[in-house]
Amino acid sequence: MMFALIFIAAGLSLLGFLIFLFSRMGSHSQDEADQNAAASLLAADAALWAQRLGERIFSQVDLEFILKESPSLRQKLLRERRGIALLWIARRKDAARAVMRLHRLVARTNVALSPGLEFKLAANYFVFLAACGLAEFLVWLRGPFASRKVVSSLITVGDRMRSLSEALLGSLDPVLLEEIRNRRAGQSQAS
Amino acid sequence: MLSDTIFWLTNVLIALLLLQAVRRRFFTKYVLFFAYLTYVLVISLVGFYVYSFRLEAYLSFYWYARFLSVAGGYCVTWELFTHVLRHYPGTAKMVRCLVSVFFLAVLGIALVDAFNNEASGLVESVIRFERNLQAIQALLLTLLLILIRYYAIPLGRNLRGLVLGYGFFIGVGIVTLTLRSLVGASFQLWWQYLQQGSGLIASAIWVQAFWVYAPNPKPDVFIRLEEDYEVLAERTYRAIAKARASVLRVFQS
Repeated sequence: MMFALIFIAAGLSLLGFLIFLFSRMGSHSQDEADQNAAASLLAADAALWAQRLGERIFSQVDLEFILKESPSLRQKLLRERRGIALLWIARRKDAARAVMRLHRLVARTNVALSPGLEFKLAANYFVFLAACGLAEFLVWLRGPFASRKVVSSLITVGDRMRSLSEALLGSLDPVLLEEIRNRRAGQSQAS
Repeated sequence: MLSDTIFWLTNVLIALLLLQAVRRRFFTKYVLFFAYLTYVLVISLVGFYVYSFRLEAYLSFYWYARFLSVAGGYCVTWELFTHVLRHYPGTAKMVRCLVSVFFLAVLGIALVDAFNNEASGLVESVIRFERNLQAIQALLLTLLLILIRYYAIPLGRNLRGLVLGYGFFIGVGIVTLTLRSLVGASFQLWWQYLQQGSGLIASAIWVQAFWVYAPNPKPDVFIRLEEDYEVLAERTYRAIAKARASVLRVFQS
């Protein structure tokens, strides 16, 4: 019976993965995917430079000011700040995703790839994403100000991701980097 | 009647696919896959003849043919891995490592079972034996799908159809074989319909995917790095490890 369940699980997980993979594959070509990855890295870099914003979002100062000057606005402030805080955490995750995406794009064609390092990297990355998910849940549940402690830790994380992002950008081929910047500039002008 | 219709419809689709592959000259591009389909078609027709005119020999013919068919399926899986990873030596290295670990684990389990005298239980019937072989294939294909997703490997029209059709066929096959082995003869009719139905759906997917030859896209935008892979990976690892540790510390305190 135990074996039977394992076999059925193996079959169903294959079918599940097929559905998951093919439903997400879409019509994006390879070129688009690579451009998006590189461009989002640049966007992430810009987002990481705004670390101070995170400190401001979760700061108690605004809440204290509202409580002192106009307590009736407390609920409105909490509601709006929760939305902003969730968006801010989502951006931290996006930054980590962009860094990892670039790493994978480089690693997949690199013969020097080390499976051991890749495993460690993937494990750490997914644990980080889970921690961010937990932080999002806490902010949603308790509000941004009560979750200050968690978020202050995420700010530290963001700093580390920024240094990594800088290192990656520094090591990119300058010609390619210029191409990406030009493409992004063209896109923003068009929009 | 329904069974006969599915049987002939599947064979017509496979014949159409083979004809198209020969006519458009891409038979050799996926030689193992098309050889497998040729084998399936020939065995189906020979099986029909044996069933109609030499019924006493049908049972042994059927199981030998099934066994060879599963063995042929491994060749298709191998071809799938080769085509998907052709332009991705880094991912291919990862796959080699994972597949080696996987086969060592399978070998270990088989040895433990042999010492516990349970091996006969695993291979006591052809259905269970076939199921075990298909389960290994299912796990290999799942591994490939995970890596395709993780490393964002693009699939062309042909490979997409091959992965989808073959994965579907194997996935349904392992579930139905397990249920057949578990439930017994009362599931026989359903098993037959489900097996034939999955074969028909897979054939339809393949006909659509292989109507024209479409080579797999190459990763034409290579992101070049001036620094060594190991330095990059180590730096990425350290940054995310520290990040994770600092987040976890908060939850632990």
